[in-house]
Amino acid sequence: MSGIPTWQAGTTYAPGALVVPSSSPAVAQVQPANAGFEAGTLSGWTTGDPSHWTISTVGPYQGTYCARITGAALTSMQSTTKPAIRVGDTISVSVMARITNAGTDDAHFQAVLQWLDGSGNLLPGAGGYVPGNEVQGVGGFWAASTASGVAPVGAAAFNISLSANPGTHGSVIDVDSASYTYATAAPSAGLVYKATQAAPGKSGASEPVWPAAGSSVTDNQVTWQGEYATRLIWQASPILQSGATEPVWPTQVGAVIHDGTIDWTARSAQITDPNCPQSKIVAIGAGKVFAADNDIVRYCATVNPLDWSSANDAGYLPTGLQTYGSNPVAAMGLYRSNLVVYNAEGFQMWQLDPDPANIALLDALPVASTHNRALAPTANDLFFLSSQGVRSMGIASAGVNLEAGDVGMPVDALVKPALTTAIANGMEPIGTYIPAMGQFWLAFGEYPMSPLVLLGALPTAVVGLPYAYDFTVAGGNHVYSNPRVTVGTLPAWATLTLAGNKLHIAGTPTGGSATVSLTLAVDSGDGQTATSAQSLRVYLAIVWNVADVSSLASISNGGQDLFSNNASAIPGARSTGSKTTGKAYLEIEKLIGTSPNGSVAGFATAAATLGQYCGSDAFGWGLQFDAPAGGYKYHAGVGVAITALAGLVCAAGQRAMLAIDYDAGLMWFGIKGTWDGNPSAGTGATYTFTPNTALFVLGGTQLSQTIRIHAGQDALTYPPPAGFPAGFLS
Amino acid sequence: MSTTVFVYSINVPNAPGKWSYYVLPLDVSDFTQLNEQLYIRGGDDVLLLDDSVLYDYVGRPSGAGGQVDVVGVVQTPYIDLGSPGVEKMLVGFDSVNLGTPSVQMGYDEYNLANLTAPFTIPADTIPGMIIPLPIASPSFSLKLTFPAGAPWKMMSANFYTMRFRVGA
Repeated sequence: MSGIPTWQAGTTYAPGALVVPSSSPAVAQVQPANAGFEAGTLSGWTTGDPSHWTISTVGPYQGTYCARITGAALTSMQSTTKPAIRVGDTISVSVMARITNAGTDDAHFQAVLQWLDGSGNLLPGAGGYVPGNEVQGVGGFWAASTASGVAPVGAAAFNISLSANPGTHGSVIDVDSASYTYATAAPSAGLVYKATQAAPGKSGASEPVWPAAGSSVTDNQVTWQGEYATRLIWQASPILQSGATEPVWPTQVGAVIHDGTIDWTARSAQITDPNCPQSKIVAIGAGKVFAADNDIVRYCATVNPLDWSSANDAGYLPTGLQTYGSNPVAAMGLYRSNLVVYNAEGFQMWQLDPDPANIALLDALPVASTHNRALAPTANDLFFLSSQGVRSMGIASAGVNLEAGDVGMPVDALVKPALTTAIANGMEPIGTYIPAMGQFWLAFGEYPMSPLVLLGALPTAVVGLPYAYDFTVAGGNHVYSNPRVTVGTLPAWATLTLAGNKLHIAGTPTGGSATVSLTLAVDSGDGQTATSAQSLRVYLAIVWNVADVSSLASISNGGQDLFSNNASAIPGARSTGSKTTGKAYLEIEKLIGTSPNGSVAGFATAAATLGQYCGSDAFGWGLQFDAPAGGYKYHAGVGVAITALAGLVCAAGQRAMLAIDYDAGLMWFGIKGTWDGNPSAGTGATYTFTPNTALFVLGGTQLSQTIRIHAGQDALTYPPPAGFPAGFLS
Repeated sequence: MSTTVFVYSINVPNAPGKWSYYVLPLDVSDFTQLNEQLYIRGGDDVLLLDDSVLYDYVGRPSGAGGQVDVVGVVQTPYIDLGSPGVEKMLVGFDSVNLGTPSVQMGYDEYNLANLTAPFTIPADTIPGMIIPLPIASPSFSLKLTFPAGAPWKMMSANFYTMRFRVGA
C-alpha cells in the first residue's frame, strides 16, 4: 500500500505505527510457456499427432512465428504449463486462430479449457473440459477462440488444449498468442499491521508470519495486529494501449486485428433487418424512425432503430391503401408532432404514438410535394416545396389547394423557374429552418444556370490511325441534344455523337494531309446553344517513296516495307516527305531477315545516292543497326562504331530509333530503347548538320531482307524523347 | 457554380415574413446547424454563415474559387404613390441607410430594365434639402445598391411627389 512503510528488522515502532509486510510474494498470472510460439519450435506444447503441427512464419498474429496445422484429420495439442488453482476459481483460456482455405468451409478450430487433477490428468467425463467458441468458415483472417469456466470439484490445475480439424480440402489453420486469465488468492490489498503494544518497542531480527485481519503476532517488543486501512488511493494506469503504428484494418466483418494491447474486431454499422427499407426519406417521431418504402411507410420498434420486425412494436403505415396514397411516398416531415406523408398526389397526416395500436390517419388532402429535402418544420408550421412554390401546412390544410394565399406566393414567380431548372439538372432543392435567425432557407443548386459552353480543342490526326476525342459540354440545364457542324463539313471518315455531356468525334482518317476548319454546336434543354470553332489538322506519316527508290530495291505494304536481295551495296529509298524545321522521332524495324550487316537507316538530302547505304556519301548520315558488334554510324563514307550502342543488334522484329532536331541541326540514333546521347536534353548528338537543311529519311537493306518504317502511321515501340512528337509527319 | 437561396425571415411576431434571395458562389449540397450557427456545404467546401464577415470565401486570393464580393441590392415594388395608373411627378426623395448606396429609380413597369443612371448618396439624406430626382410616371421603384466590403442596412425612404391634376 502506497505511503505506508514496509516492515524493517530491529526498528523501533511506537504504538499506532503502521507497516506492510515486506515478504509477500508478488502474485503473477502464469501464462503458457511458448504461448506465441516465438521460440520457433513447439516447445512447451505436447501433441499425439506431431506430423500435423509445424511452425510457420506466414502472417503470424503477433511476433514472428505461429503454429500451423495441416492434414485432413482432427488433431489437438496441449500446453505443458498447468497452473495450480482452487475449486471455484474462474478461469479463461484464449488463443487466436486463422483458417486459410480455397473456398471450402469445412475447417474448424476451437480452444478447450481442460481441468486437471493433482496428478495433472484430465478430470473424467464431460465436466473435465470446457470447449470454446468454434472458428470456422472460409476464413482468411484471425479470430479468437475463448473458453471460460469455474474450476469444478477435483480440479487442481488447468491448461489449454488446441483442437483443430483442417478438413478434407487442403485447408491450413494457424494459431498464435495463447493466454490464460484467472484469479488466485493474493494478499489483501488493504491489509496493514498496526503496533498495539503499550510502549515503543523494537522489531525482531526476522519478519514474523503475518496473521489475517483481526489477529495479532508478537514481533520481539512489538505486537502487530492486522487491520484494513481505510484510506483510498486511486492510481491510473492504461488498461488498453494501441501500438506504435496503425494496424492494417481488416475489412471482413468479424475479423480481429491485434494492436498493442488491444484487439480490434471489425463490425458493421449497417442495419441488417430486412424490413428496414434503407430509404433516404425518413422522419423521426414518437421514439420511432419512419422510412418510406414505395407506397407504405415502415417504422422501427420504439427506441430501437435496429429492430424493424418485432410484432406490435415495429410495422408499417399502409399509406397506399388510404386516400391520395396511390403514388410512391416522396417526402415526409413532422407537423406539430404528426407525421405528414407526401407523394405526387397529395399528403396524409398521421397521428404518431409509440404504441402502433394508437397510430392513426388524421387527414388527407390533395396538396402534393415530391421534394423531400426541401421540407422544413418552420416556427410552428411545416414548410414544403410544391410545384407552385413554397407552401405551409397550416394554410394548405385550410385552403385545400396551392393557389390559396400562402407564405411563398410573393416569390412564386422566382421559385418556379428555379425549380424547373433544378428538376432538369437533377439537383434536389434543399430547405432548412434556422431558429436562431428565424429564417427558412431554400436553396437551388446550379441556379442561375451558367452559360452553355463546349470545352476542348481537337488534337491532330494521322492518316491510318484511329482517332477519337471528347469535348465536354458544361452549363445550361444539363439536358443536351442536337450535336452538329454549323460551319464547314465534317470529314467523311469522322462521326459526331453526343453521350451525356461528352461530344464525341471519332474515325480513322483517310486520304492525304489536310486542315479542316469546322464549327461544332450543341443545344441544351433551356434553349441555349454552344458553338466552338475548331481546326482539325490531319497529317500523313511518311513512307518509302516508290518514285525515289533504287532499282536494286522494292517497296510494298503501302510504302512501309523496303526489300532488297542485293548482295553487298545496301541499296535503299528516300521517304515521301522531308522537313526543314521542328523535331521528329521515328523507328525503323528489321522486319524480315537474319543476316548481319544488312540494314542502314538515317537522314539524307535529296542529293544522297540510293544505290548504296545511307552515309556512303557526304549527303547522308546513317545508322547500321544489325552489325554484329553493335551500332555503327556512317557519314561521307566513314564508318565509326558507336560506343553507347556497343553490343546492341537488331534481330527480326526489333527496332532502331531515329530522332532529329532540324532547328538545332542535331540528330540522334538509338537501338532497342538505348540512345547514343540524350535527345531529351539535346546533348550528345550522334551527328550535327547545318540547321534547317531539308532532310529525308533514307533507308536501305540487302541479302533478301526487309525493313519497315514506323513514322506515326502505327504504334511506336519506344516512347519519343521529351519534346519530340511521335512520328515523322507531313 | 452558383446556388440561389430564397430566405423567408420571420422577425416580427404575428406578421407575415419577408422574402429575400442570395446567390452563393458554390453548389450547395447540404445545410447543417451546430450551436445555433448554419454551416453550408458545397463540394469539398464547408462555409459558416457569419454576419460579421463581408465576403464569401474571405481570405482566399481573388479569382476562381477565391474571395467573392457580396453586393447588397434592395429594390422596392413599383409604388403607385396615389391613384393607380395616374401620372405623378416625382420631385425627389430622401433615404436613411447604414452605408452609402448607389441609387436608381425604376419608372416603367412594362420594362423593368428601365432605371435611371446610378449615383451615390450619403447614408442619411434627411439633413438639408431633398435629393432631387424629377421623373413623371404612374409608379416608382427605388433601387439601392450597397457596395461590398461594408455592412449595410436600409431603414427608410421618403418620396416627394407633385400631382399633375386635382384629384389625381
